[in-house]
Amino acid sequence: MRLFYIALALLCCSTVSGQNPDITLGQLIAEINADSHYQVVYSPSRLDTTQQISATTKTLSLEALALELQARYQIEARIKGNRIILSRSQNVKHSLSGYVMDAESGETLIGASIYCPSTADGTITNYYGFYSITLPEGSHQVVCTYVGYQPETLEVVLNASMQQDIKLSPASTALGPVIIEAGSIEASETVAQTSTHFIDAQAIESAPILLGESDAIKSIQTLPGIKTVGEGSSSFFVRGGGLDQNLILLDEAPVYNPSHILGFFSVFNTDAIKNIEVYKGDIPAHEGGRLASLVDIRTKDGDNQGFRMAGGLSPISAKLTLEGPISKGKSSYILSGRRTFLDLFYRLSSGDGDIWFYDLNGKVNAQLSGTDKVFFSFYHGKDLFELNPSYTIRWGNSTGTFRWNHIYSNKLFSTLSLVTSDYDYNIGIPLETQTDIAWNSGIRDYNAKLKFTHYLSPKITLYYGFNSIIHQFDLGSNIASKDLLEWENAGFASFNFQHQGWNISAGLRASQATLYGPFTHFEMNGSQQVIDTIAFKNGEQVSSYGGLEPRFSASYTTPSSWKFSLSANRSRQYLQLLSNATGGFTSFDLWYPITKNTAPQVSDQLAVGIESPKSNALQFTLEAYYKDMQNQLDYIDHAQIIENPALEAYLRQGDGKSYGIELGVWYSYKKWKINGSYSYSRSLRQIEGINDGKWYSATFDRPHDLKIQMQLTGIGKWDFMANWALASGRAVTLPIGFYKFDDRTIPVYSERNGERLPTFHRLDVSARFTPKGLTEKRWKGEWIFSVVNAYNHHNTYSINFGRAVTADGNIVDPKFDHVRTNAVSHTYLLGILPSITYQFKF
Amino acid sequence: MKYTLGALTFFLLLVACEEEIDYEGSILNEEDKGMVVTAWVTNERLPQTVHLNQLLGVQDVDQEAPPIEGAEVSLEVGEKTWTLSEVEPGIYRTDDSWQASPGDSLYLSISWNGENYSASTYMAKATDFEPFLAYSSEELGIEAGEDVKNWPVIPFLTNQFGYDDAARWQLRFTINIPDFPPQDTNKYEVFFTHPNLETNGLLSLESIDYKRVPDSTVMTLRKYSLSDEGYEYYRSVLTETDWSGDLYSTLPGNVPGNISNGAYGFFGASQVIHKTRILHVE
Repeated sequence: MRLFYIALALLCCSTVSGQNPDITLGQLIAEINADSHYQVVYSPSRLDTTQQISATTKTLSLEALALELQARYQIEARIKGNRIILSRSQNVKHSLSGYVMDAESGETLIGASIYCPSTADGTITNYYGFYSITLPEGSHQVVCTYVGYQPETLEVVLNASMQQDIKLSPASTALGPVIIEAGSIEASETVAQTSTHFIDAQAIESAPILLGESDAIKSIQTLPGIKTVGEGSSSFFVRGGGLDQNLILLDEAPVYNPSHILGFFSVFNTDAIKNIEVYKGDIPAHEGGRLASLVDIRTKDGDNQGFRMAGGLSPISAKLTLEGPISKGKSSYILSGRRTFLDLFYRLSSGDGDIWFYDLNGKVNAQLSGTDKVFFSFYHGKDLFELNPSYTIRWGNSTGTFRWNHIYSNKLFSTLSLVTSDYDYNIGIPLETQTDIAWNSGIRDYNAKLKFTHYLSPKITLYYGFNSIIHQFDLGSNIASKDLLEWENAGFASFNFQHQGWNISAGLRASQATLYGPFTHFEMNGSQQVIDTIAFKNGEQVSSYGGLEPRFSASYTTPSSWKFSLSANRSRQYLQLLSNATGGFTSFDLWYPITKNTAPQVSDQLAVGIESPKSNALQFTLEAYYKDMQNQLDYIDHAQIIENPALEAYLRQGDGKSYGIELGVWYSYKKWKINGSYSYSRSLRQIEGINDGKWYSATFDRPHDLKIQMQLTGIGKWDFMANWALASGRAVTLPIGFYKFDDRTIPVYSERNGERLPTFHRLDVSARFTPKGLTEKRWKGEWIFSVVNAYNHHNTYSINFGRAVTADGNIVDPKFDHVRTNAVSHTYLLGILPSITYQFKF
Repeated sequence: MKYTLGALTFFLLLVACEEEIDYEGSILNEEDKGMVVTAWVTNERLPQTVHLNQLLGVQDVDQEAPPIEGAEVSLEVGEKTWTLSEVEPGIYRTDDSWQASPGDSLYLSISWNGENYSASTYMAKATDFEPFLAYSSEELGIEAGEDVKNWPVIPFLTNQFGYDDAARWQLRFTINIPDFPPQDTNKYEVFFTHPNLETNGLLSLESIDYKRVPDSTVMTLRKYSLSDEGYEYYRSVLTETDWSGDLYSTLPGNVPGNISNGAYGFFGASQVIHKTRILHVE
């Protein structure tokens, strides 16, 4: 850079005078040089001498002039001897923004870290891989890092705001196992303080797999504080919240039933997933509608550099993924599909009934200009489970998302999302006395959302926007129809502030929902007996609720990198799932709106946490929470749920509470990676009319929960992985005795969910073999050997009484030969399950 | 357990398995096995019976319930009291003078082992009804084989009597044909009606079935009136037994009883109307 100096003596008096009303900075410098004994020194490349300044500055004393230049024009004036050194103030800052992407595929990277060591400022990419960081004018080194990628250091000279995309190269071309960085990676956008986990595609693929299928939900179930009801379930329960209190988003579209094959597998094809963020609390203000958690699943954009193909063949399914550029470097597509062939085995083994699923994910994206990018993604999946030709359950989800990302400036980013989601559920019911019938339920959403991200300064980021959703319900009908409408609206605003170890996020969400007919309202007396009905016509308002949802979180990171955090938030939920599930999968699946009889659910959660320095080989997080819930729904005893127009008569609402502590530990040593979590928690309900009004355990109340994952990588051509889980048994209602009436044996129970199934434990192991030499070739294949339930422990799914037993110890129908009756038996789902899977990428 | 051999590997198909276990849940001690009272009296001028037993433990479910012997049992209807005699262990019965009418309140009292138990109930009124009519298969337009072509057919609708009053119905066919399978000569079935919204699931549907029986079969239709409490008891019993474990079951729960002092069971009363017809194609 070429510099030259202008020196001028300033007048002996320290007052600068002038006559012209408007002058340039250059004119001022010239006058000072000419009229005083001071020399003005500056760098022309960094100081714009054509900048207009007020002529009144010339009347100021030297000290006042310096202050004025600093305050109004961000020009720093320092006096050294007889020199006045002018420079652009260090307070002048510019924005550096752009996308972070995979250098090979062009895939944008969510949650990548951008850090400037000289200023200690940093940020992370948002859901779309976009970042914006404001730095002082001048030269800087900027370091970009992302799990599984080589760090990239950029030299940038910031004289003005500029856009700079950053391309990261994968650390290894092999599929290296990665342990889920639970708790150690801050969530994108809101920089959430507590209760957040980040899972990338490699972590999902690295977990031990069931029958050759790696599974996103199974990975989520390994996180601390997330519980299941046992084996064979894609459902999960977060901090004492019910199944329906999890908002599962696939590219922003809600997925109302994430289960394939009655819950043994989830609907999310890992080949199409980019990453997952799980919020167990501290849900950002721009998301809402559920009390317990937000599971935000983002699909891959597709390779915009070249065509790729990936696939796999497992014992139950085949899958194929195609991706490639539409216009190289600017637009791309990805298409991924799965189809099980379990139905073939099922027919071979039983000859009656049927079971299958398929799903299809697709996405196209295009960079329209430097400031505009559009995406369209969709999902479609179907399931059939047929016990016999008459008894069938069918269900399926379809979603579609259109997104437009627009960069207004280096500091203002917006996302417009238009989303639809459709869920159908159908039971074919055989009846003895009449023709078989079908029972349908479902929900369809139309969702419009506009969100702005405003990078006000390096310390402050604002988020604001609105969200409008139309839910259409089928509340159980013989002919499917979704004619009941609930309109849910929300406005939101929040900010994030970071300064000297402090990180504070606060926001407010104002939400409101209204139900419109056609709808039949059942007026009930104090005993919940129907005493009258009111028919609301099409479009007529039935009920309306609304309220504020404040969200707050704060953390402080000490100079030694220990992090202490706190969060408090309120959430409201305007729809609920009515089911009869005590296990993982519900055979009665009905999404239900808010009505005059069912008020929206509300929860308030307080959480505190501590996190050890991330640089340590041994890291841990410890969190404690307390959650208070209102308007929790449950059935009274002996509820009749199907073909019952007055289902509300069997529902009661009451209070819920949950509390617990969650410990997460991560350890890394050479080729070993070990992580574990332990949580102690309780989830209780108190609802008038149920359990004599006394507190009782929720079905998923499992106080102790221990999970350990181990990985040993790079042993020749092998990687090894293991998962072990130990948990309290599920809370169940079991009889303590029986009596006979009218030739029937009637059970007598102690209290609702007053007993527990036996303690659950299971070990899953897997090994990945990558043949030598393949890593250098375009075709990359690998073999995965896995054993689920390696030591063949029979975990109890249900307990049965009054069974007949043969001499061989087999449970039989009492009408067959047996030697003993009155045996107690249990039903279990999984024995030892070995499998081999072949996966390839091309 | 079912095994399936696949092309690539073998694995156990996802089929639930069952095996005997040592049960570690709550098991009642002998002293906790409380009294079970089952008593359902009618307005018929017949001796009425009350059963007293102990609760069965979860590992005795298929056993005969131990009878409770030596109890003092009485029934009151208005001003009149009947003291019941123990005719068999645990079975207590009134004499022939029993008399109760629709609209009566009835009171049961039991003393045993120094403890007193009681229950009260109400005998609801049963309204009159017209029994099923018999038709020929041809009249109803339904197919029939040559051998049953002339048998009368009953169009059977569970809700054909409406839901004006709560009732338990017992439909019995007595067939007097020498060569007819003995197990089919005296069959009956039970169904329920209720005046409130019929929320007991499938019974609310417009179901139609056709029952074909030999000519001259004796059809007896008995209608037992039910109080709301009695109907709720029966509905709860069915949800815990016949209807339990299907796709539409909800969480299990205790069948509500009306016996005091922690005893299980129910004391109910019904007016009975019965009609008998010999079925011919009309």
